Amino acid sequence: MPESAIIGRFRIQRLSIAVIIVISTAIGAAALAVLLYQQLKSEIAKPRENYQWAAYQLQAEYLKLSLTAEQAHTGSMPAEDIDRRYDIFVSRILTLRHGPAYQPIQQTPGFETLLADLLASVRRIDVTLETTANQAGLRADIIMQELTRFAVPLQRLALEIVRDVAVEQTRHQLSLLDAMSYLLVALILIVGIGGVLAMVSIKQLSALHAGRQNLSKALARAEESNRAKSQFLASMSHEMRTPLNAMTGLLREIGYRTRNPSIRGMADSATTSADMLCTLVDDVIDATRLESGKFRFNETAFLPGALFEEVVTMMTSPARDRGNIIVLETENLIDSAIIGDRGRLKQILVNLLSNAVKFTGNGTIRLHASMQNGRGSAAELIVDVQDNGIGIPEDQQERIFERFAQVPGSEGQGLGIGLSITRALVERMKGEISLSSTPGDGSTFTLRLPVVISDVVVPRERHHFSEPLLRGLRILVAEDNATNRQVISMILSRHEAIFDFARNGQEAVDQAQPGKYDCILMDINMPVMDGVEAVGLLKQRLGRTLPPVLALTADALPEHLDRFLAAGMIAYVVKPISEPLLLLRIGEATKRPDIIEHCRDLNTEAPAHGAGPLEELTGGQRKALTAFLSEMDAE
Amino acid sequence: MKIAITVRMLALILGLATSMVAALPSAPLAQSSPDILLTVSGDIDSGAAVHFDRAALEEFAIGTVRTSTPWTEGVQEFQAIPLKSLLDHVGAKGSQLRAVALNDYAADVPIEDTVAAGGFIAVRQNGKAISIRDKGPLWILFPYDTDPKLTTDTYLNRSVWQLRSLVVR
Repeated sequence: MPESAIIGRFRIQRLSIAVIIVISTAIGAAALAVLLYQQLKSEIAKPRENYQWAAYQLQAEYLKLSLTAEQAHTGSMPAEDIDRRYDIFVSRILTLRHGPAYQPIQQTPGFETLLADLLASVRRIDVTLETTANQAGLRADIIMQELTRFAVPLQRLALEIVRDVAVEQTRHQLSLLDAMSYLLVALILIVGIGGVLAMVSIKQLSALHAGRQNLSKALARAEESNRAKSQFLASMSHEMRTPLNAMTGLLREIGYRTRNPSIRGMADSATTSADMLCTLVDDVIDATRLESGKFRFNETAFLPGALFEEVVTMMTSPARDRGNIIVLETENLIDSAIIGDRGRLKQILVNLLSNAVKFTGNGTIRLHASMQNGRGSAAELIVDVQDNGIGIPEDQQERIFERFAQVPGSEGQGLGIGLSITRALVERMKGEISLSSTPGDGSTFTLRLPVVISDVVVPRERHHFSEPLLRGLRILVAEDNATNRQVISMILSRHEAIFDFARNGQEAVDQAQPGKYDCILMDINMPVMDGVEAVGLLKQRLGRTLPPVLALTADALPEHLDRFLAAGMIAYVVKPISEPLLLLRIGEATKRPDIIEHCRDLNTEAPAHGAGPLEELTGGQRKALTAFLSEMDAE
Repeated sequence: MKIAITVRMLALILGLATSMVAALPSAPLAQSSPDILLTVSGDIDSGAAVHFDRAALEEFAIGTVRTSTPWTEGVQEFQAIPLKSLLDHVGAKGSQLRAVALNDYAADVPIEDTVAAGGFIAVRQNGKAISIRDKGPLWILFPYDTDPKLTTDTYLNRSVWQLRSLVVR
């Protein structure tokens, strides 16, 4: 790491040097270009004659004048002609003397003297010509007498000017060449280094891109791994439900059957523990479902008062283990039912009470529930769970609602999932949960839930039946799990039904003959042939003689329940099996008002147990587990 | 390259010098009449050449141009014949002028461009007629101070002094 950092810094240093070189070269080139531009501009602005041409003209006019003077003697030339030639020659001299465009020529060595000499001669000629007769030959003589001696100096001047101009032009061209060479080198340098820089940045960009891709791949892997873990948790929880259901049923049955109060007490405690285990499993399953967005509420009408009593009863024993007592106070909890997800509300209350019990020793936990009526059927259920335990420091109060968070010093107590799932559930129910706590004095969790008051009359649940209800009813039960068969067998035999068991869908199909049974209880997840398929085959085979089929399932997902109904089952009973509910459903299915009558004062709600996301059989779960384990190995 | 130019230039000068002295007959300097200052010929309405004496030219010299020139010191005031009005007067139809000087120097002057640049023929300089010694009597000039391009070689070459005749082509 440090080595690559050094290399990186070295690279950056080299890059900065390259950038500085490019920038300074560019600045130099720009300055030079500006200089050249201004030079050219001033050259254009400053009038500049062609000096070589001017030198040639002076010489030429001198020669023409000489020639004309020569001819003046031979022909009958008008005097004006020689005068005009002379004037033109003089105009050339004057031009060189006065024109700003000829300044460089005026600096040619010897020019000034020659010019002064020439002008002196011109003045003398002019004076003489004033008094001379208007005869060309005569005037030409006067002119040439003075000017003949300038033939050689004028030629020398012309040559000097040509030479000077050549030198000056060479100098100018060389300096231009220098400037151009510099510009060219600068350009090559800029293009070269610019190209290198561009290549470096392209390389870096692609490295950056590759890095980003690696990161997103890593992120995807991490998410996949996280999903696999969640899946594993969900699968495991789901797997735990079936034996748990069986245990709960059997423990209840033991409680019912025994006449020994100490055994009943033990059975009750065991039931409570199993119930709590159920809550925990439900927490995990719900957390997964919330995460995957497949969460749904299962709303029924129920009596809140009964629920509070049930929860307090359930928690009394664990509370006692830590020397705590639970006090239930209710206020304005009228005897009408509310509509909501009873199972989830129970889960919330159990979580809050478990939490209170966990952090309180030899104290009192107060569960205070009250109902505030709103407009129409709307109401608000307010629940306080107050303990006098160790309390929670203020800086931890928000954190404890986070997933897997645990208050410092309480590590190892619980999963840290209960409060997070509690808050998630409360928020989904559009309620709110708050916490006030003073370390050392205890904590109070306050729950405010909007509820709808139902106009359905829901009498209190009754657990015990004084007489058998299903006497003589012929029932086929398809159930692969032996313990579950045992639980069902106990209920059915207690109510004196006549029943047969099938261990899978195929057996059920084989056993069901027209008119043989009054009702079929069909488990869904079974080996060989599952419940849904079996019902399909039965419908085909028995047609109108098919007795009513009730689904038995641990899967309480509304969309799955709908699937069972669509498959041809007339109702479902969700596990763990509640005896009164099973009896009620059988009564309804077989259209036996006497049975329904006896179950009338039963709570009709269905226990809401969210099932795990894996509706597949053990094979699917094993797959998830394998995926999870290989993920662990890979890390 | 530089040396080549110099050599060529020298050869030119020397060649001219010898040939002129020895062989060349002098160009006829005289106008058909000594009073004629400018002859316009070529592609013009009358077909034959049109001659102008000083009086006629002064009539055309309706404008006054104040400008400095590369050959004079300080700003000069010229009585000017706008080239356009002279060409209009003679009904010039061509696109080029050949301007010929007293010494037979000749320059090609594109009409449209020169007219647009404000080219004019100077008749008087600072109120006085211009002598041959001062590049007169007629001088094609431009208002050099109005535009830097007018002092480039192209326009300096068109600034023919000691103007003698114009041939429209």
